[in-house]
Amino acid sequence: MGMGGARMRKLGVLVTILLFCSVVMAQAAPVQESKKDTSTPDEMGDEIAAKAKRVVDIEQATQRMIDEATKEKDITWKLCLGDVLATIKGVLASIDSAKSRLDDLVRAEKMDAARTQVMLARGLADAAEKAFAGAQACPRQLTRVDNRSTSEKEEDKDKTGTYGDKGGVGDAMGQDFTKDWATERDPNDLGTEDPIDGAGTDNPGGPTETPGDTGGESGVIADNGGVIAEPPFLEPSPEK
Amino acid sequence: MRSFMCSVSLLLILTVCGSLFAQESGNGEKAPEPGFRLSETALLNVSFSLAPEFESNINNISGRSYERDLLTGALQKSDEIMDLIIRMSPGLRAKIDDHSKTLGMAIRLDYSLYTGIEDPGTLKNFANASALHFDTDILGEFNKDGNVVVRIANNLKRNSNPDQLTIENGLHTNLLEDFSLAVFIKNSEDTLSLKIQSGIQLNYFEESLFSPYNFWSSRSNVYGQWKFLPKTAAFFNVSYIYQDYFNAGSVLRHDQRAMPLSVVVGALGQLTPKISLKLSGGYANSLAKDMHHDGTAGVEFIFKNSENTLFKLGYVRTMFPVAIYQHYTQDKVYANFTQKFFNRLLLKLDASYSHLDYGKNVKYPALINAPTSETVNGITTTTTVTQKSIDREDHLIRLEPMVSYNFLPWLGLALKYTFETKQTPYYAQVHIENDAPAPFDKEYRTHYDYMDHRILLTLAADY
Repeated sequence: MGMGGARMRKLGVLVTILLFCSVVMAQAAPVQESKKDTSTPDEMGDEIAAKAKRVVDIEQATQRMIDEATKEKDITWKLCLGDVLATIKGVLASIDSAKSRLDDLVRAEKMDAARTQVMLARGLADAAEKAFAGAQACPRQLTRVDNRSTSEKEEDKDKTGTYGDKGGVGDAMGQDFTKDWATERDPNDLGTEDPIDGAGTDNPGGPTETPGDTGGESGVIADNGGVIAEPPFLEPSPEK
Repeated sequence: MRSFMCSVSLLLILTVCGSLFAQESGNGEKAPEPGFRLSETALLNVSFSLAPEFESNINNISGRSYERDLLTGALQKSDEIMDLIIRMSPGLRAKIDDHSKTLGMAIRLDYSLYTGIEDPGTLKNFANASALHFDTDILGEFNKDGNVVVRIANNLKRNSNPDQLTIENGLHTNLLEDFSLAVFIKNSEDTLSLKIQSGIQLNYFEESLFSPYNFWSSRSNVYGQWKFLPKTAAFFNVSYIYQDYFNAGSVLRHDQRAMPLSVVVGALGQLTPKISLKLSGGYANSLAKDMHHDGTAGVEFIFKNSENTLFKLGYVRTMFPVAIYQHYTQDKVYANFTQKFFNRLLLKLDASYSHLDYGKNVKYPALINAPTSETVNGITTTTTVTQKSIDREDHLIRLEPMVSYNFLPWLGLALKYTFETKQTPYYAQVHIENDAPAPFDKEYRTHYDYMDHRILLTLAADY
């Protein structure tokens, strides 16, 4: 929370500065702006609407991250994202306010003041973008779930690893070396992760070959020819 | 023959289509994961393979086996039968997979059409509805993101090449049901794991002749693992198998019941970025009619260069239950080499030698066993079984080169040759005579050595 809190304070300061600058610029440069910015009222309305839509997208993306953090039970991540979301919601409210003021100013034919609202919206949208970028760096706990819902232990991955993934014991033993090849796949293999990651040493019986795409399957005596002698003599033709 | 030509034509058409498809999509872009994603967590895969196979000795017959009529002196030797077999395997698998659970099922059908190119009898006997085999799996994993994971698995299959060591050469259709329940207990860092597993197997031969060898078995094991270094772990495994031949006569059922217990400790993992090693050793005891103490061992050396070259060399010594002999000990040396080229072409070579050493024969314990007589309708038939030796051992050699080309991650063509031979001095001889008005006096000798060549061309689609 220490790092996250510091980042939030910086963001807050940044947003305040931007707002302040926008207001100052809006007051100081009406003459200059009037010379440069010749946007029509419709164009100004469209620009603010576009900025608002972008900030709404950012808000939804942040909310999805918070939902994921909730599912992961990652409190650190969720708190950090919550701060970011609060900032973004504030920005969005300011943009909505600017949009309504723009409409009033246009109706009153105060075009310079209307352009000031557009500049304000631009600054607010930039602040939202920066806040969202900051959200990507929010610290997380050890457990992460990717979009395939595969649990991984981030910090201990190199030490433990999992079956079929880089860094696992099974991977070191060459297990599933050709699993991505159609001619090598077992059509009945459901491709689930091995909770043990023991390269086949966890089967009943004695020592086994590492199972996989080469060699034998552990636990299966597939290469014995299926034969022992058991008289009486059986007709050697395939007649059954 | 027509079906064969159709199959070959289909193969060629699919090959050409695959090549064209590969050219279109071969722009170096990463291919999407195969499968139909039904929702965020549900995935459906379909598969199909078409494989013409030439086999030189479909029933693994020894050419030294014969039948002799002791009245006329006529001798009939066994002949190896070759055939061309068209194998077709459609399959389907589906799973719901999220961070806390997995529910999955898979089913594959296998139909083998024996074309009868040498003996039309094979077409008549094998290419019918009874030749439809299947392999089904059901899997459930629960609390995957917790420290205690539960896995329930069930496999039911019907085939003619039993996975378990069985009783006779050749093709004998059987049903195998295998259910297991496992509990995994792990610490949060995933460095310490304990697995407690128990399961039941039921093997049922459809031929009544083999019904005495139907069995059920209970397989339990406790496995512990400590990942003490990156990609490296130490482990122990204690397992117990109880195998009961429930259709055998009461005496034979008792005598051939097998209960191997094994305790294994070892370590495995990466020594250098390219070299990995697995070492294990332990003790095994067959708690059967004849108590047999033995040692088990495993050594495996792995060389892995980037993601393109894999070489494996290993040795294992194990003990498993088997009918009649109670148990057998297998010493196996194996080597596997796999090389990938251009992410499309794959070369493989698998080779192995196994020595199988059997326990004592509880059904025929002597070289010349006491004759048995049976009287039916006033005619007495006497059967005498003799054998080459009481201690039996077999030698198995297998060599399997393969080349495959994968047009797409889900479509490929493979050509595989398999050479397999069993060498054993052992034979069994049965002398049957009766006192009927039309007398019968024959001697049958069965050798169990064989040699088999197989060439298999497979078009495999798995999307």
